[in-house]
Formats: sequence, C-alpha cells, structure tokens
Amino acid sequence: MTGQGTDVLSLVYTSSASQPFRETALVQLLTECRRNNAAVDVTGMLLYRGGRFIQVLEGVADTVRELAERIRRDPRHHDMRVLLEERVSQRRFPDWTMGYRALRGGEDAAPEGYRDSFADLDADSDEDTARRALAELTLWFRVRSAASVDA
Amino acid sequence: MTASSSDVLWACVEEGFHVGSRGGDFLGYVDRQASGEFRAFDARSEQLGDFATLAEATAAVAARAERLDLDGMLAGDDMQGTVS
Repeated sequence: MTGQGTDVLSLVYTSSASQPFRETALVQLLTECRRNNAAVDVTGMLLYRGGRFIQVLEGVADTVRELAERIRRDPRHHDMRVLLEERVSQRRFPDWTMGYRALRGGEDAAPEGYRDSFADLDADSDEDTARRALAELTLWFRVRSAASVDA
Repeated sequence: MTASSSDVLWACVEEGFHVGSRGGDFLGYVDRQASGEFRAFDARSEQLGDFATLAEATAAVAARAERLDLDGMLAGDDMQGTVS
C-alpha cells in the first residue's frame, strides 16, 4: 500500500442522506465505494446515524481531494461539509477500503454530563473538539470491528 | 498534574460505549457488556474489570490514569537521579 509516509492526507466530512437509506441502497453504496477506493488506494470509514453521514478518507492528497469533490456531486447526499483535513504520518484505517458502522441509539443516547462524540464532530466544532471526537469514534470503530472478527 | 475523576471529560460514542480523556489525552474507555455490566479499559486497552454501574467503571479508569501518571512522574525522578 502506498501513501504510508507524510504524504497521507486524512479528510473528514459530514453530509445528510438525501432520503432514508434502506439496507440494499447502503450495500450498493458501500460496494461502489470500496471498489473505487481500492482502485485509487484510498482507505477510511463511514459512519451513519439518523440520516447523517461522517466519512473519513485517507490516501495521497490529490487523490483524496478529487474523490471528495466527486462525492460532493453525488445526489444521494447533500450539505457536505469538510470538518477536518490533516496530514497524518500513517493511515488510521489501513485495512479498510471503507469500513462501515451504524451507531446504535440516537442523539439522546449520551448520559447527562457526557459529550456526544458524533454530534461534537458533526457540529463543525473547534479543531480540538473535532480531533477528540474523531479519536473517540475511531477507537469505537476499531473495538467494534475487532469484536466482529473475533465473534 | 495527575488525573482526578473531576477533570476527566467523558464522551458517549453510542449507547453503552464511553471514552474518557483529559486535555486531549486518551485515558481509557468503558464498554457495556451483554450481561449489563460495565467493562473498563485503560489507555493501553488493558481490562480493569467489570462493574455494576457506569460511575464505578469510569472511576476505575480515572484511578488507573492517575496511577499511571504517578508512575510516570516517579520514573522521571529516577531518570534524573541516574543522570546526576
């Protein structure tokens, strides 16, 4: 896999589904996404909660930016906003052409006094908050993915 | 400075999965099990045990972080001692 050095760009965006996603539509989207990403050596994860997407794309900078522009024009979603764009020393999702997880529970799942990671990242927060929320979501994704493999 | 329960920021990623941090540093997480118990993990993802309540589990994460902080400070003192 290329792009393991300092030329790896990680881009995080949020968007809204244009209509409620049925399982079959989601499977089709992921299949397309994984095929296209594998062809250009892009990895990442896609999260979905209550009609909102958060996606992380990582790879060679120009490739990632071109892909993000293509995604922006996809009519299956709208209101795309880039939340974070940073150079990273290594990929966070080297084994996923596009890992996918839907989050259980909605916006009121967080107990009183707890931050809501998905909402904190989705809300276009300050950079420190966005980085913290992304780290939390990434940890959760890895723990849940490892549990799926072990099961 | 060490981690006390009061200065840890806790976030809920999804129902039953909670992550603790302080000043941007990851401290550990708590994952509710199918049994209903709350399993606590430190920053190295080492299990700290199962607890009946979320509050007990998050307190265990904070206590572990505090101990690791103290260990780190003591190790720093030792290194200074060997240099001089």
